[in-house]
Amino acid sequence: MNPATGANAWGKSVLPSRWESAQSIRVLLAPEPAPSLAASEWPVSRSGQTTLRPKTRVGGFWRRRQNRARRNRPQLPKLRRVARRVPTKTASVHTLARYYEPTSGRFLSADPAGHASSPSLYDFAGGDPVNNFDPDGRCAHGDGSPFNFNTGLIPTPGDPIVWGQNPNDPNLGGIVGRAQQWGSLGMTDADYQALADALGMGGNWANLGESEKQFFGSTAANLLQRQAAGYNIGEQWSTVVGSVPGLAMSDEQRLAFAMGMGAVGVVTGITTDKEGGPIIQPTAAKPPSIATPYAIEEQSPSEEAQAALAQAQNGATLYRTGQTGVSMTGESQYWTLENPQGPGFANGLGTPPEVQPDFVMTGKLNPGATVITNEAPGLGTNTGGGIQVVTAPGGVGNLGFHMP
Amino acid sequence: MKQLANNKELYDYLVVLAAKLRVGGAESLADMVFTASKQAAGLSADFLGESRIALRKLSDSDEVVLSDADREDLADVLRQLSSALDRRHPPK
Repeated sequence: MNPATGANAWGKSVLPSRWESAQSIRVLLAPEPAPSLAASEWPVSRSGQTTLRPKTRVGGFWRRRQNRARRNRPQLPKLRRVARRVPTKTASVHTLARYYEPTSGRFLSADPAGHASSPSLYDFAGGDPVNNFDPDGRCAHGDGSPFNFNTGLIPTPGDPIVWGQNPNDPNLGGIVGRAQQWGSLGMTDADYQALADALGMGGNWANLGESEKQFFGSTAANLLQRQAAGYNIGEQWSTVVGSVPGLAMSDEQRLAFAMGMGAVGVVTGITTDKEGGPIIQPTAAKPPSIATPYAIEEQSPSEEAQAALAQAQNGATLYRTGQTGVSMTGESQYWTLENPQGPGFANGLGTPPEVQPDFVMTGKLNPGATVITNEAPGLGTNTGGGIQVVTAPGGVGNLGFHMP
Repeated sequence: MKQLANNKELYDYLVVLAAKLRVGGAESLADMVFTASKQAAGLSADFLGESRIALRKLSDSDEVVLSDADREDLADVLRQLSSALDRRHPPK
């Protein structure tokens, strides 16, 4: 080692860092096994009396040894302290426009709508989640306007599937109205649990945070209203939440549920430092997805699917086909850009030629409607067929009906 | 093991299964399965999705109409439907 610089033969400093120096001092000052000293060996003062505690030589310095009580206490093995940031795991919800972080009750990025919706660009629902709601992260619908979860738009009058923001909305009655207001009425955990049970969910709701409970009440109101309108919410409910009714829910599931139908994806595993510092990296971003009665459909990363997505969003004609008089569970969420009457449609999308469709529906994507595109499912040789367009219920409008 | 080679074979399976149920006196179950088979005229996701819903209800039904072999085939078909529909969400 170079005594002048403290560097070793490779040029690297071998002098202890400030932290290591401190640790070394702690080690040097640690109690040592008490030597057995005869009375004559005890230090004696100038007046001839023995001192209270014998001195011992430590690290080149004389130091009084510790008293008996301290010396005899159990010596635990010392754990080396390492100065590092302790990662914690949180989860954030990706709304249509940006990420929401329920722990802090704020969005992680600025509102793309600007200051028009709120003085703070990061507040949820304009800082007033009781009276406002901000399902897509772009603005707060707090003016009493109902919000349509199906299309993401303010609905037209008469739309029966509407989540009303105004607690005095006459459309909100009974349990729906109560659930709507529960967030501001100090709803108990038992109330939330009862509501969850009424929806066939179960789970332990006592662990929810306050802001999440408010979301819960609002979301439940929406789903109950959909149920009252005759929709089978059971499948959607379970697929949105991603759990089987009756099972305990993970944080991720609760958060997805909390944002309800407004959540199009969930990011988990975001690492922050222990003090809640800046986000380091999202580790498990999921592609946008849409829940249908059959599955959770995710956006495909393939070029073909991305091209189809652009076509659908740019107003391309969408097609659906089937047989009249056959009821189904779905709500016309599956469409295709390919004309079913064209050649090759049957092969690509797996329609058996023996079963001829007797109607073709056409339509266009509603502005702002949630949509994803991916490969249609199939069995065996039909697997990986044509690209399908999946929308939220009611996502396609301007419908036409044709019977070939 | 019942292995379906394509959507057409699913359609054939549903038609035969509906006929078996009807012969066995389970009219409502037969109607349910037959209705699902008619979804073959639509998009593949609708067809497979409705088929899985119908077959799950049949599988959960207490009406003993199907033989043990039929029930094994039913389980095989349900497994293939789940594999196709949940292909981006493999069971955990």
